[in-house]
Amino acid sequence: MTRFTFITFLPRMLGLSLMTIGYLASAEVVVSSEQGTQSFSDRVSLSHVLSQSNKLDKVYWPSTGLYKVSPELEHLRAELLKTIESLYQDVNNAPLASALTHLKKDVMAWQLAKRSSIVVDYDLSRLYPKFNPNLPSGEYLLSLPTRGTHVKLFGAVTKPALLTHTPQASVNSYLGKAVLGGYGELDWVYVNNFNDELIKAPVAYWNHKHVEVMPGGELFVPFRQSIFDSRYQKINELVAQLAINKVVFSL
Amino acid sequence: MKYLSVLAIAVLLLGCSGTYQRYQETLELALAKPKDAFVSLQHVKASNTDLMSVKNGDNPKAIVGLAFLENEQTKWISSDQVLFTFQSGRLIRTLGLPTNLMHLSNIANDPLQKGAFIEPGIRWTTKFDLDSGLYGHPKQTRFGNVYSSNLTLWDQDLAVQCVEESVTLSGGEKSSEFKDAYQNTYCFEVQSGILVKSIQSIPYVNKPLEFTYLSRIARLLQ
Repeated sequence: MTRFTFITFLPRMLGLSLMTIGYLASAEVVVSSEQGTQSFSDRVSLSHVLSQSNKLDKVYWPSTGLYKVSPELEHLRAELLKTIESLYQDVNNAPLASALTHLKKDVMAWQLAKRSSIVVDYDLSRLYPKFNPNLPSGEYLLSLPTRGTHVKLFGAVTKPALLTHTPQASVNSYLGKAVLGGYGELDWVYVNNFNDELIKAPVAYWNHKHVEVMPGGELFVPFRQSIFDSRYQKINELVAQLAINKVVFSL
Repeated sequence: MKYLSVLAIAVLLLGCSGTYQRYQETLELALAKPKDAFVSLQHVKASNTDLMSVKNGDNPKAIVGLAFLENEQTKWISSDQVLFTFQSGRLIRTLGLPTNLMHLSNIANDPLQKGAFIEPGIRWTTKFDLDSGLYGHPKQTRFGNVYSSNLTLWDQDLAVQCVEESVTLSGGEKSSEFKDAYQNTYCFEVQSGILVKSIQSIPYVNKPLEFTYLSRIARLLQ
């Protein structure tokens, strides 16, 4: 397995920094979205930024988000990948090794930026000052997705899957036989609806509660915690921490 | 044009203290207020923006103002940050209520687009998302009973034709604690076919919302 170090992600961090420097030389606020990158010379209001989009009537507002580029997240990503690699080298279980490999690939591909607590809603921003803040200078990523049609399942599963979103379905119905026997958490999973927090959904027969996942959302099956090896818990915590800051332009 | 409505509301809300106070009293959803909000015919006629009354279940009536008219949608706001979005007279999105309608599918095929000329018996299927954590729940509707009635407002009668829409929600774990069948009603002024009143429910919310288009009625009574 490739060794992941801070150096591995230095080019990515440098890339972001150079882009930021290039734009910030002439602008204070730089906003990138699916439609490209725009720079604003003054402190710009959220409603003005949103008004630049040409697909506002198709946006699924519950899943929108504004993210600020933050190199700190790359440190967490490097730490997570290092932990996954460390665990991978110690396991003798092929399905678990496969799950770790898939998770590594997933995490490497994530676009990460610090999710802002600002509510992104065009109507609210136009109507009420408290929903229309001026953005402080910096580089932002703006997610304005349309309503998704699938649910992604990943983590302690035999193979990550992109499943069709099923109306009314509870989280359990997506899990099926995908959870990695012996290594996957059987009592609860994380639901990522790409809003402010992950939901910890109980899925065992004894604690089951009807929880639905948003179309376009994700289910992270955590690794079962071990009293002999804290790396499983560390992986779970880091994935949860990073998943909330994962930028997805299209659900 | 769309910004004129907002500007009008902003001016009304932020204008002289007397006017501001009056709108503070009327432009609220007033979930806990003991009395229905009332605006006179003269007040509605003088208003620069369209007004509508909203009755939320057994709660008192409140007044909301038209903020935006765009993309075939009308968006109405209250002073306490509740927003109602309609298309073809159907409530398609809310913000600021205890439970909100976030998404409604298949709007392009909504029979309500035919307005007063809707055919009894016609059916429509849609799916809705609520911010209570329900996504893609199916809803079937059937337009049925059509009847004539009078809408009385400001001591005047307006002849209307109303059509009932029977709504059925398809199962789901919520159905045991909430109504899974209810009726919406849409009333159109007889001569013009303009929608002047509707009673609609957000699925799995047991309080119907009653919307009365005050400014439209005021123009029709002239």
